[in-house]
Amino acid sequence: MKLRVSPKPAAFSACAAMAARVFCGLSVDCVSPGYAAWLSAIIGAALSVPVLWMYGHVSVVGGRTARTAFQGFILAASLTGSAVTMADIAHSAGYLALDRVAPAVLLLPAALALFWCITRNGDSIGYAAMIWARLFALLLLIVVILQFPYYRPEWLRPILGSGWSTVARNAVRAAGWFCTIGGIWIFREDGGEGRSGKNAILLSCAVSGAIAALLLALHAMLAPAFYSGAALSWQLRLDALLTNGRTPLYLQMPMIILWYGGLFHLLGCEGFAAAMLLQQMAPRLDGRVCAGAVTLCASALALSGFTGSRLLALLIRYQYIAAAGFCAIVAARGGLQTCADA
Amino acid sequence: MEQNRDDLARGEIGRDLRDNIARFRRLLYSDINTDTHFRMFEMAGRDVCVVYIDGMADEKKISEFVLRAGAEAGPAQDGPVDAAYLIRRVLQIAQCETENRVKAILDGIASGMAAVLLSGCDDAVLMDIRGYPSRPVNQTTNESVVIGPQEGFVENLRTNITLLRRYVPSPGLIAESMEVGTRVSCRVCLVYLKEAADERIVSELRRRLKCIDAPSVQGIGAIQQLIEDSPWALLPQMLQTERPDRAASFLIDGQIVILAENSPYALAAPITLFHQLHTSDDSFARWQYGTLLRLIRIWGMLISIFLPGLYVSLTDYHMHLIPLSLLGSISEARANVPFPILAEILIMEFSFYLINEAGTRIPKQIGSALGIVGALILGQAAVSASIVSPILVIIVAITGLGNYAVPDYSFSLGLIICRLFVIVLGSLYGLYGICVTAFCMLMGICGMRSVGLPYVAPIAPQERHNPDILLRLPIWLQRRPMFFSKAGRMKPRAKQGGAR
Repeated sequence: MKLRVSPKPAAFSACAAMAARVFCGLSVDCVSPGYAAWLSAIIGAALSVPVLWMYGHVSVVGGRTARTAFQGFILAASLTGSAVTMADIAHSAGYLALDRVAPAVLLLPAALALFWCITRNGDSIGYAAMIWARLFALLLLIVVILQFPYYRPEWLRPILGSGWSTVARNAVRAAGWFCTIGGIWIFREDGGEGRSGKNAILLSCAVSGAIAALLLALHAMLAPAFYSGAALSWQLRLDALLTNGRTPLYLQMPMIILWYGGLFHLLGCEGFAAAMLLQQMAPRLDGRVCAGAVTLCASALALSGFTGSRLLALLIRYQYIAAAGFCAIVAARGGLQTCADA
Repeated sequence: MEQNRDDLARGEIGRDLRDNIARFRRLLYSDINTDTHFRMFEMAGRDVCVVYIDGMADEKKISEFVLRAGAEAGPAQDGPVDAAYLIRRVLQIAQCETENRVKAILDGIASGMAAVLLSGCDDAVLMDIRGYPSRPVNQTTNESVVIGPQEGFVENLRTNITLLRRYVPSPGLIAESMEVGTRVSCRVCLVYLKEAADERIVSELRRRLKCIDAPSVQGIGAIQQLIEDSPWALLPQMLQTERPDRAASFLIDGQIVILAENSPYALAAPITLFHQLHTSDDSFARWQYGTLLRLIRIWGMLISIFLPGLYVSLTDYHMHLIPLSLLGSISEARANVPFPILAEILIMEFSFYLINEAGTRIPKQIGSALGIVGALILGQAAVSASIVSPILVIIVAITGLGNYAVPDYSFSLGLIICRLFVIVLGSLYGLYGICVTAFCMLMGICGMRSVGLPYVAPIAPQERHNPDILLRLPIWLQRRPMFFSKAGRMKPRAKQGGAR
């Protein structure tokens, strides 16, 4: 079984995953997102565009070594991303109902879903993202209508929230996520990237950045005042996201579906990207074997506690810088020039 | 002995009439099979023998247009008396042809044709004078509509093709006949509209039909299982209909219809998930009503899949998502029920399936009694005995109604299996389990294909389409061709799935 994905499904899948990852990363997964997380999402999307644009040239002209190294980088990032998402799903399930259930039991459905999802292949994941995009819009509309009386636009001020440094730090993190999730899209099929691909990168970044910014802004308008700046536990941050202290509890259902839906699409996209890259690096491996390997590794990482470690937080902070630096080195060695000539 | 018969059935007939008769007598077991007839007589100065099976061939036609015509025919005047001469000069049958392959003649006789064997000639005449009894065209039984034609397909293939030709009176309507089944063959017809159907899809379906290597094929349901893209999928990827008007609308849209002998159904492909929610009413009613009905069916489908699972998960794990007053009612109603919610809902679900299945098999005369026993007495008794709570009866009843709102029977059975997964996962993991199941189902349907085309197109992948797929927009807006037709842009993935 060959793992592959066509351009359009890849763009949809990446778009859904980028929006979910940035929202998740700058709200529930972030210790101190501040009120200006929406601004960080926009800046992050803008920062990622040149790096994503250069990715294509790296894969085309960077030579086999550069290409393999880069695939390895994206593979590691996607695998870690899958593990983080699986851990998020398990935490959410634990918080919402199953707090006394062992983490392995909580992870099991997510792991099975990931394996099933990868073996359906890339186009199915992309098609599912297309359908999810419509459901997402409908659910978001319902959520906004239900919570409309409780929004406080004044909580978006000051625009810079906790200050420039927080905004910049979060923007770099967001850019890192955009750059790694863009991997599904860059290394699709044979790794080539056509003219339309560049436009689609820009469009994907713009759309997913806008969606993430919108969600973060809506979240900021609902979050209780103590949320700003304080270092809170993951459970409390999720609680603040879902209940926010004011809307009736029984109206949470659309929010929960949105939350799980976004996480599952993110998991599918990242997991598939990891499996596809693994197969590209080891072409003799069957797609199902790659899917199994990625599922096992992601589950093991999620169970190990690595997803909540300081080391991972540090790596995420610098993944954008690593990706940009790598592209800059290839460019300095003439790769981009060669590509332009070609 | 059996090997010997296979050898006899191979090859071609000889010139010696007695040898040929002996051969066919053995092949048709005429020593023990009293239905086979070998009628010797003289025709145009030659000894001939008509071979047919009693009841399958029309004896009146044999007497009138074969025996009498043979007796009245004089000796040959222009050329030798052979099979071609008989067709040209003597036999007064519209559909007859020369044939020399023993297997083809044997299959023809078995399917109701009559064969004329001639002495001194190595060709036989095969005449289509089938005259077996068949049911007249009647009202549909499973796909009733309020507005629209009422007639349905019957078991006779010829009648079914005629019905289609009546609805689509176009010279471009092609009906390709072929036999499937290696031991007991079944006549199958691939019907399509030349100017609308995509030739690649037609070729693919033709290939799949020809590749069937099952020893026998019993009707359209077996054919569907043998040529579907994903035989392991829960949902069908081809659609069975008993309505000629619906099959005709598929043909006009560029889809292909397969008919089979003895099957009062047509099999349509390629289809999408959304075709499973369409009925003929949608087309005949005004667009506002058609759209409303489709939305109701979509809602019914969602209720059918998710409602019992949601009930289990909300009452077991997420009580904070239930408004307080309703939660109070549920708790009060469940106070005396000794079973956990999962057991309670499974008892009710399986009772419902039991009543449903019994209602399908039971004679019509006592069917209404079963309805009363099942729905009223059993339900009331179960609630009174505190086996189930009243609210659960409501949940299961609404779920059942949702399932019945889905027009396609096979599709609704697939939904029932999905529902069981949702119930079990919902009871184990709450909303998390339901979301996992929904995600996996979404992935599953997104990965499915019908004759190589995506099952959820034109929504995913997005394609420009006739606005009669998800909703039923005004008829004057439905000018764009369907994406699977010859004029559509989407092309099937080559050689996906295939015959088994």
